[in-house]
Amino acid sequence: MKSVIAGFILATAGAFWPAGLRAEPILPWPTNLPTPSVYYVQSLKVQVRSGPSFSAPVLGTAGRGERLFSFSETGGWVKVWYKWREGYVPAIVLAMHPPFPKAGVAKAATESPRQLARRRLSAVSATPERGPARPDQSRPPADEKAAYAALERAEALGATPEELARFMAAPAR
Amino acid sequence: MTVLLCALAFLSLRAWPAPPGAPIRSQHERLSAGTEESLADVSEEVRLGRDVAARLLLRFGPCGRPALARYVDLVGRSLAENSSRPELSMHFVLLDSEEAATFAAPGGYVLITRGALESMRDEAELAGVLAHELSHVTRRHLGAELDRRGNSMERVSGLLRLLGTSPDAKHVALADRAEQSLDILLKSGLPREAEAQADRDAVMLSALTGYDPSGLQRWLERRSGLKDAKASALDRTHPPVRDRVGWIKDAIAQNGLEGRRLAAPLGRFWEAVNGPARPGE
Repeated sequence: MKSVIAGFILATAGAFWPAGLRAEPILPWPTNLPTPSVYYVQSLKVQVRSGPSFSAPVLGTAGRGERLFSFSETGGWVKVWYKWREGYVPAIVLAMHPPFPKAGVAKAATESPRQLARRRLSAVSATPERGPARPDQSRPPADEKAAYAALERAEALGATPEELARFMAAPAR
Repeated sequence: MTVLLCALAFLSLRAWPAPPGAPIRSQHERLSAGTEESLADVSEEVRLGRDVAARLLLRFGPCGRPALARYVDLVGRSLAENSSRPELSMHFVLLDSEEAATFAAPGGYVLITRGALESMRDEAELAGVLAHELSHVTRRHLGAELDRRGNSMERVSGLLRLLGTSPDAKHVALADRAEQSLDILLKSGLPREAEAQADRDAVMLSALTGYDPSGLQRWLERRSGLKDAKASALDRTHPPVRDRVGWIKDAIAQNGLEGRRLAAPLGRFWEAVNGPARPGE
């Protein structure tokens, strides 16, 4: 145990050594090897194939958020390392960042101009020292160029996640 | 000796993953730093998309068939599960117009007219058309075209700085971009390269979702044979059908999809479009 602790101290001592005296790190990454690109699966799941084609055999399935290392891209397919083998994934389902969360985006973006105007009015009514609201501030502007109410109704018609799961699992007929 | 071996082991643990991971970590750090900024961009994109979608709804009117609207939403969202933008809540909206037209507004809004739907024959055709629009959304084609025309976010930000950052000033800037978006969608269309990319993506997305990837091609070819097809906004704003069919055929051949039997569901499509079949029919 003492040896392990002593070894740890010896190994980490370099971090406190003056920078000018610090040697090159041992076991450097060979500079002649290409740097891998990192991709993250964005789709719910994707089949990794042995070639850049839908007719190539399937090696396995990668799920959303899975990190894949790649060295090259060919004709809309990205060559990746998958389970110690070379595999191919359609570039269309990959991005170079982990999947972004959905909730934060939706919350920030669902306020219509009408709601914005209402919020402004409530701020005005909450500060009586500013005096009465001007006539042009007395009601939210009627946005005659957009049908926000109809859009909200159309959005509400959308299927629930459970309905979507059932639809995707149902055999096509 | 043991001390030295332990020191070497610790050093190798520190050193070994570091060099290959170094560019990865720096890339990761860059992305993490940019995440908040990216999400703010996405919020602006969704805000613009909502505005454009609401304007299109005012122009065409919403279709009063909830079951059909829900069916279109299900097909579209099953395709969206294979898209590269899981952060977007995708909405597929049915418009009440006999004219065959489809639109992709930024931020996850895809709109399709009743006329377009009624001119289709199976679910694979619908999936192909929606996948084409989905590609415009995920690749931010409309935003890129607005930037190219000079209505970039930088310019909008500059405008906001001049006007102040009141909700009204933001609304004016957003309305300006929405009006230009509508002009592109209804009159001038997106660049040819964007349309070619969307057609190739439609093939991939359809295949990934399990649909026959030639659905879009079949629909385009059949529509091009119609006498009144030229009057449609779809034809005014898109490259010639012959070119598009060529791109689709190339994508099918290049991705090993020729001769593969994939789904083109007919039953649930007809049920959704025409209502459930009555006994004896």
